[in-house]
Amino acid sequence: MFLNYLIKRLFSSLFVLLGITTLVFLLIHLVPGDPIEVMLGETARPADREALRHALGLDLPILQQWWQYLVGVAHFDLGESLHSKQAVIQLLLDRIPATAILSIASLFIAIVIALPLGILAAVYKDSIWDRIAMVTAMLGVSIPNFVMGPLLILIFALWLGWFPVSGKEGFASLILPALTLGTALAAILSRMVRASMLEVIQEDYIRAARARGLTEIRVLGLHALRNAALPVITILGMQFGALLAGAVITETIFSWPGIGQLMIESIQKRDYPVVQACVLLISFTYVLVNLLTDVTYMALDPRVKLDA
Amino acid sequence: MNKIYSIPLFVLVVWTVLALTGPILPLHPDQIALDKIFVTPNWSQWFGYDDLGRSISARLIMGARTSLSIAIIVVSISFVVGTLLGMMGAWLGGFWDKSLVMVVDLFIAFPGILLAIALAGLLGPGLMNAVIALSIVSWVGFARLARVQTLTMKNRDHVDAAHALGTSDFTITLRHILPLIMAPLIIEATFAFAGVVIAEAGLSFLGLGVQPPAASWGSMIRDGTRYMLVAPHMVLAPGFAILSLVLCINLLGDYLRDKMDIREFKA
Repeated sequence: MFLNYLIKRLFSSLFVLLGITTLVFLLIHLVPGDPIEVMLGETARPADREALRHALGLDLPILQQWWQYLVGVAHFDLGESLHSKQAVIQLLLDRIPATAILSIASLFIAIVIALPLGILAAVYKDSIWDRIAMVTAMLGVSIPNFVMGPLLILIFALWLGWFPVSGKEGFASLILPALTLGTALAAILSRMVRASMLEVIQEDYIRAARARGLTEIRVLGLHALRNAALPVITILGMQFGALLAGAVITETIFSWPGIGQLMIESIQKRDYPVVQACVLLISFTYVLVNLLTDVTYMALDPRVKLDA
Repeated sequence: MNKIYSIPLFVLVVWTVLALTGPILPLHPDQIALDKIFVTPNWSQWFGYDDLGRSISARLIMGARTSLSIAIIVVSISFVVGTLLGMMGAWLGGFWDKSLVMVVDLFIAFPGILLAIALAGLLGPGLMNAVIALSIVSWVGFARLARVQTLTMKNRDHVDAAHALGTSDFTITLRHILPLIMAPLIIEATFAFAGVVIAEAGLSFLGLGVQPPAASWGSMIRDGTRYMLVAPHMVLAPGFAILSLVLCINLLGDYLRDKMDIREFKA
């Protein structure tokens, strides 16, 4: 039963990956006019243009181009950067650690903020704590990261001088970008935790736990939180995508040398193969994270119907 | 209406009026005054001047114009196209529905505004391309919602009755289904509006939105980050402008959602 579900889910994910690759492949054909001219500039010699056109395979029929692109992606061959002439995959590999560190740190910050805030709001529903938590969450959702980031830089880097303004040098430089990215997620997450906890708290097994005379901390921490966590994990997987997309802007703000910064730099340099590769990598990561959370969810909760 | 919600409504109306009347107000958003470079906010000029000596309050108003007009265009396009496709998929079923779900799933697989950034980046910066990029990303939410809502309405008695009376499919969907699924769609539109305001400012922040000298809150923040130590108001003013607008739209969206009591929307 579970295996069936797993195989089905794997296939549909594979299909989505194929679709993403196709769309990303088509992106280059969206460039208005001749992409070669845009990349090389109007003054380029015709011979250079033809050479690049041939190197990128843009002189082939579109179906053949598409097939070559798919085969390339399947072999982790994403072409060459037009700018540095390096293999695109190498450029990506150089940048992955920075983005991974930033995402994990942001995720950690989001959970650390959202869990207590959400639980507090649920347990003391309609109290002043609930109000404060929900107003904070609303503010967090409404402050985009390109406002939050500069604000944090202004206060904590320029005025107080606690952290470096930008760059990636040591632990201190991680704090501000991770906070920027994490608070937005924390806002969404705390609302989810609250909603999920509110539902669980009313369940019979919570009343039963209370009736057995367990302490409130045990009831909430062990019985309620455990059950409330499952839907929250799914949401977390879905929101991880927003986190990755937000990283593109956050990395630009803080000159954090990750995939997002690479993507924006490449857009500015019109280095289209690299832009395509960045979009591919981020989207693939998102699909895989969602697949993982779904499968974990199914594996963990015996109540979830597998054929749903 | 709850009294507390008149505040966000008021803020929204103020921004709208400012955006609408912007061109006829005595504003000079592009006027460069060399003697006013980096002038900090004071009693006569609440928001100060930027690195070129341009009035930030005038640029904020022009930014509101950019922001609101792009959001209205994008949300309108997405609303119409998304709702139409979603309803058609659910109504026709079979192959069409499957195709729609496939396309929607594909677009959802791109996280957040990543696809919009890539599209705007490849299409090249500019107002028109920003609208195209944001519309391509935004219609999906409406399509998904309209599809699910139509599916629940499709087998209702009043639809069967209309069928029996010989009403055409077109009329049934338009007059007997659309009005009933309007409420959730309007709520979706509210949150989409806030989303597009943020996304447009985000694109502009990355240099992919409207181009100078046109003002956008996002590009104002981008310019301001370079002078943060000498002129923090260059970042703070547009930052709070975005916050005020987005926060108010989100609050109104929440209010609508609670008022219409649509459960599947509750987070």
